[in-house]
Amino acid sequence: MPVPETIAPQMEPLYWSKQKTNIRDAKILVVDDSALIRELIGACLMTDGYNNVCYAENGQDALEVISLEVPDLIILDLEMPVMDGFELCQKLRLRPDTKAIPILIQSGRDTASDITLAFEYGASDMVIKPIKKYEILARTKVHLEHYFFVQKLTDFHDRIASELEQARKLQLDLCPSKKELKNLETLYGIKIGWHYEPSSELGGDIGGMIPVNEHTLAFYIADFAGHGVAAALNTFRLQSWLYSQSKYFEYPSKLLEKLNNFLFHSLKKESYATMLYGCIDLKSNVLTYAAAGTQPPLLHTPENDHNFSLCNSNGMPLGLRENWTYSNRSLPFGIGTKLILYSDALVEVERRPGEFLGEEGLKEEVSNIWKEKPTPQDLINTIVTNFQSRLGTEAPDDLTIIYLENSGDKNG
Amino acid sequence: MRDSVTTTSGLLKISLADKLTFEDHDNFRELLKLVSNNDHQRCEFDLAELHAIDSAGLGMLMIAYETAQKVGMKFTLARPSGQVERLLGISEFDKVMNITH
Repeated sequence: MPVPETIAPQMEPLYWSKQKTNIRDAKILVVDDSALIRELIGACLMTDGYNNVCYAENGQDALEVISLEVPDLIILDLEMPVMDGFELCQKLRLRPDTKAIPILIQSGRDTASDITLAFEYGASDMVIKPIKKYEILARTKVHLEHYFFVQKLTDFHDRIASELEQARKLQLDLCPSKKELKNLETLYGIKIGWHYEPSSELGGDIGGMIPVNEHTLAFYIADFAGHGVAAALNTFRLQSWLYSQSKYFEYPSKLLEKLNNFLFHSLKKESYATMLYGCIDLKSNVLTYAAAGTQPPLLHTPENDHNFSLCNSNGMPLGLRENWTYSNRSLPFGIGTKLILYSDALVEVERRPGEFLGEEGLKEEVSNIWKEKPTPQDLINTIVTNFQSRLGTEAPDDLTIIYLENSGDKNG
Repeated sequence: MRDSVTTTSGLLKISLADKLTFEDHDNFRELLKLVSNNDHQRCEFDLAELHAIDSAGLGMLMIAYETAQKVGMKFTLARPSGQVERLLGISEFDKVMNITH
């Protein structure tokens, strides 16, 4: 069989940044029962610069070679003794470590049923004997480049997914743990319910509780515009800043003014955060808060029977206008009074086509759920279930819900 | 987001429809070029047909206001309704810019 001596100019091989990156270093296994064909194909490959070619005489022999090192491409004959190419192909496609290897069939069997069967058994491509040098080299190159490229993409994807998962765990650590919440409940005589769910791996929502003194507990909820990595990094930025400002913990409006200027200078243009920061004084039973364009919290007082009302949370979002003034708002927060804070995702879902739930809709809904006298966590669970049923196919935004109730049984 | 632009005697009117969200960032940038390059005295964003806005959209409106301010144009957000009006209200945009109903 004539093999041209001259080789048409080939494209430069692809180079990747890691591990085996040059397709000319790819391990290629040639499986054929004819020594002549094996040598012929091997010679074609080596004249084109492939320097890692190995051989097997039949399917069984090939499995032994593969058990030592999995190749990057297999050039496979169909008709062989002991184990033919169809069977080898089928076996390799069932193994996790070999199921994606490109298998290039070279065979004299060229009937429609042979070709169909080869592809059904998992062949990647097929060339018909007699061997044509340019054809086999071109197919080898295409399949190796594709295989390396997909491997690189898969490695990249897996690395990013793993890093995002670690970041997600770190972000979940920013939320108070169940144990911390339990301790605060006991210390301050307050019931706390908490739900946090980022939309993707990472979110732009953050919430927290800060013990200020023995009778004052501060809390906050904030939401950075957007979600994903950038918004999540900003939640860390906010928290680091917040914990360096203990002198303002008792002064919600002052704290927001300072934070607003900090974010105005540190956030990218168009980025901002909505936030509500409040202090509950369990001695005087007064809630004082300042807001920066967050969703209006729901308030329920024992005198109000079943109905929740909406608190005013108007305020310029943080980071948009320098030197903005925020004001404190105060409310009685006696025993039995409850406050529910939530991020905008909860109300920016459609309850009917074209009609958002809105805070008024949420207020009605929560008032109705409250008639069943649920526990705080049951109340949150029902709100979340309703939210999820409204999502449909839309990707959800980050969702935070915080429930606070003055239970009146402060220890100490 | 869909948009249409009309100019009449000193007024650059940009009407927005449907939703203004993070995905509209590039289109909105093009609209801002009209604001910054324009020699009209007034700029109005008509929001009557805008049904929804997200946090990114709200940030873009603030940028539009600042862009108009830089070139000395009077800036108005006109006829917001529903969720858009609610969000503008919660965010106190009326304390910064002119909002007409």
